[in-house]
Amino acid sequence: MNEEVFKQVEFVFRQVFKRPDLLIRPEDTATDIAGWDSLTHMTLINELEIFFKITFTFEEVTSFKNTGDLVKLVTQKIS
Amino acid sequence: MPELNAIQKDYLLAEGFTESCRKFPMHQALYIGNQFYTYNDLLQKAEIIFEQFQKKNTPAYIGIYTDESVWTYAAIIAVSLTGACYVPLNARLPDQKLQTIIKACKLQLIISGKPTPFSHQAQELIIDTGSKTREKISVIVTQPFAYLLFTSGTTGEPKGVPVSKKNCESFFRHYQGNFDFNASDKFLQPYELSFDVSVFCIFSAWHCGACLYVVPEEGFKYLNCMQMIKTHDITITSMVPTVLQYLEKYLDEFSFDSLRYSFFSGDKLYHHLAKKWSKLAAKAQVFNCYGPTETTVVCTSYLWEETRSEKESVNNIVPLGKPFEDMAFILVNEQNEYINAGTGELCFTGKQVIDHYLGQQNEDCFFEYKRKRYYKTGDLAAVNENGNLIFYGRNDSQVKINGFRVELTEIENVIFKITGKNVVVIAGTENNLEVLFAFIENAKMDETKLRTELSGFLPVYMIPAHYRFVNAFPKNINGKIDRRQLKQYLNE
Repeated sequence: MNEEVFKQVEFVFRQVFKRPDLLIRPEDTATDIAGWDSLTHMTLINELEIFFKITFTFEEVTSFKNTGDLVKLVTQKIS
Repeated sequence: MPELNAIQKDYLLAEGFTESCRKFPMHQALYIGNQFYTYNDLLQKAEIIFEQFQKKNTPAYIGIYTDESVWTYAAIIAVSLTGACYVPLNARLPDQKLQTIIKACKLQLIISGKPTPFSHQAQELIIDTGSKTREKISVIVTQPFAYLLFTSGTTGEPKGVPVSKKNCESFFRHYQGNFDFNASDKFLQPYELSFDVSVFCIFSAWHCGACLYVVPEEGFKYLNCMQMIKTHDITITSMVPTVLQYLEKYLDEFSFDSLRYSFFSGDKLYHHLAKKWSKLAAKAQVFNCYGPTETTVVCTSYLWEETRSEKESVNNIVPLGKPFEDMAFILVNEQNEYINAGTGELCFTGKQVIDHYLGQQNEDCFFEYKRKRYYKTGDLAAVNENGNLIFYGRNDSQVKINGFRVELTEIENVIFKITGKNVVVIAGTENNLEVLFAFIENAKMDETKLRTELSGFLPVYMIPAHYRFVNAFPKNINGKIDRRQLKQYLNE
């Protein structure tokens, strides 16, 4: 896993969930992070797209199971 | 020739289910948790629950502690066929909120698949799911109501809305008379059972022998809806329009050829989104429906059609349409006087209007006009030249967040109880979506801690997304808090 991308994704999570001290783990799913529901998920996706200057398809948005998968997807898209 | 001494039987929500069991016992009735259940399977499960019922002194209201399981749906069937009224207790809501509901309707019995935190308040029937003993379900309770839901109330206490069997009979008559739902249909069920549109999905499917597909809660529900329509070739959907707002940029990626009917309700449907949806569901008829819980799910509908709807939409909002057969409306001004033109508060009369709230509270929502009883919706509307109702917003402090009716006062009361500080909650927009902002006077506090505490009392959609701490609230000329000025702060 790309550590730098992981840290940047974590930064976006902190912004979206308004928790400056939030630490994410690759195995985290929506049930592990308070407030991560359908609605915040779309905000998160939007913020990631802006931050990394990428776009996700619907297929991609639904493909990842945890934050580790998300980081891998972002890494693929920016490389 | 009518049977002598025929007794007028009560309409039961699930009687159509029984009829479908007779006609299509081996048809799929329910898809939940990646598993299919036939009409026979479901009936057997309902009969297992009924066998475990105490048959004497069965209470009128029966709570169902709902989770994502076939047993929850079987319990709804069992309760309905006994003649009792079901009260969904959504296990995802905070315990305090459910305790208030249990207390408000003096619930004596709760059916659940697992022990609940409410055994001190009501008797529990923990379903013995391993049991094979069944009993044919019969009517053992005589009372008028089909289901009881709770909506956000101005006093901070949720309001109980008992919807009668007669209300439901009238509501479903509209669909039976106007739509060709049939046993090959596949209905999507994206709603929590405490949201009344779930009644439409569940029983419309079961009245015609169709299959109900329950959208999983796990993961992201709006995304799950789209996947489910695609994977299972769903033919009939009912959703809140918010789904379209959230998924707008992905809508072009879909094509749902299986869809025959798409119903939207619970919030404003924007014309441009209806247009995008109709493109991806090219074979479907798209309806915008409207109705508060007090008028039984929905009581108006509007068939969307691109050219006509473009002309009829106001502020890009699709019309609410015309009332169902057993319903009629009038518009009234601020003095509660009838108006025959212009914008006024929308009031309904007819067979779908509830008789009263639980405990006969909030009776000021009802009034008589020309010997008919009307319900004041709190929504502002006008009628266009085609006789269609046009929506112009709310006239009070109630807002819709993600399709849920939210009384801002209720949230303010809870924050006040926690902080002891004056609070004003305002609905604003962020990225074109409605979100809640809480203004708290003369306070400095940890926002994260406050959110955590609020989650103990309020469901997620009622927890404000943003918090502003202000020294003093701006006041208007009457000395009242100037909400308009607070709203302006949102743009600063």
